[in-house]
Amino acid sequence: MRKLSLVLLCLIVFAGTARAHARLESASPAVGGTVPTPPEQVAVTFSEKVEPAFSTIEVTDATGQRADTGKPHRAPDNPRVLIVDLRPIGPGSYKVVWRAVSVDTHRTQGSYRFTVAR
Amino acid sequence: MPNFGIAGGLGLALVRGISVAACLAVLGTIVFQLIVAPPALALMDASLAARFVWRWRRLLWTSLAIAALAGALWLLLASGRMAGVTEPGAMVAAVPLVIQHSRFGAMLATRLGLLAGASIALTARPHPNRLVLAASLAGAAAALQALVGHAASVGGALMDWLALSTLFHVLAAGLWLGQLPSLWRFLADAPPAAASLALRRFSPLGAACVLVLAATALAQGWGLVGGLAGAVGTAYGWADLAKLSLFVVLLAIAAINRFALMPKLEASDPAAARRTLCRSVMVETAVGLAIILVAGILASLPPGAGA
Repeated sequence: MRKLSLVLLCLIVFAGTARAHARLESASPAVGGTVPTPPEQVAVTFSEKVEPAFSTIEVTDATGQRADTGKPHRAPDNPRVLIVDLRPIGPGSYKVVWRAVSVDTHRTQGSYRFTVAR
Repeated sequence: MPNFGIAGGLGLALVRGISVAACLAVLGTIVFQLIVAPPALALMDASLAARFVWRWRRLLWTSLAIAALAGALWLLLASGRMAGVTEPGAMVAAVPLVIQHSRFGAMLATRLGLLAGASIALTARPHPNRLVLAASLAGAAAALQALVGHAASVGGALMDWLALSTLFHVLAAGLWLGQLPSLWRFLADAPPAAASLALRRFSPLGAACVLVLAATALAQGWGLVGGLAGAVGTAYGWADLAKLSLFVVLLAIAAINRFALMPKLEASDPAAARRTLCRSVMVETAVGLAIILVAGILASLPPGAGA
């Protein structure tokens, strides 16, 4: 019983805090940011691990044309990061719409813009 | 009043809760037959003992059937939500993709496989070795809960701690709450001496499980609720407080059973004491089920931490 109590105490003391369902933590290019050269991909970092097979990242230019190449993939070194490759793009404003399914099956979505400088 | 937008709807949350409750009942029912019941059955004549074993098998197969059906329905509904579809045909089509390409799908398919394995182990005549195998498979099926909830989606060391905490939490719930239906059915007709012996064997295990449940609930509350602000300002916090309140009620009933009603079994009117105790365990079982259903709702709400 004493060992059990010790294990339980450790569980309480060492527990940290978890965030809510997958939310955007950061992105590259940054949310609302301006980059000097056209990026080759968009990477979105979420607060939780995501399932790439059920998540999407769509990038469109100012005319509504798709700038991404399709399905996103997970970063090999971080299960919280989704990456989508871009077609060759030029200067202008781009909209990123993301829909994420976290590992615990919850769906979240959002959007942001970034700009490629002229 | 916080927003109670339950992800996937109340139906999915309840199906999830029922699936987990049935899984825990499978584990608890096998453990009751393996550890608690044998010496008490030995006090009865053979025909009465055989009747109890038959009842136990009916309870076990009912629990297994509910666990399998609710588990399959949970997989179907969650697959539809993950794929973003609501038509029945599209939801069915999404199931293989979810099993193949998501941790949740793989874990739930594995759970259904483990329950099928436990069923196969139980089809033959009850034997201690087969019961140990079935209990292990049912325990593993219940333990997978640690890999499909909120704990699974956070990363790093926190995930390890939360998952470990959930693992202990689920197994303790199975060993305590999961045994209550068997205990209730046993107390309904068992002779007072057999009932008393079964309770004496159940009691220490129940006490250990209460300790584990309280400590692991505290660890998860610490990690997921988000302090006082999260407890009173988010739907997750409210649901967790409801679960905590029910847990306190459960503890009170368990304490009454242990310290007030159990001693009366060996006093002047044991038959009346057995009936009172039986009703009390029935209420305890219902409160335990309510707690598991609230836990299913909790798993569908965004944690208060970081909200």
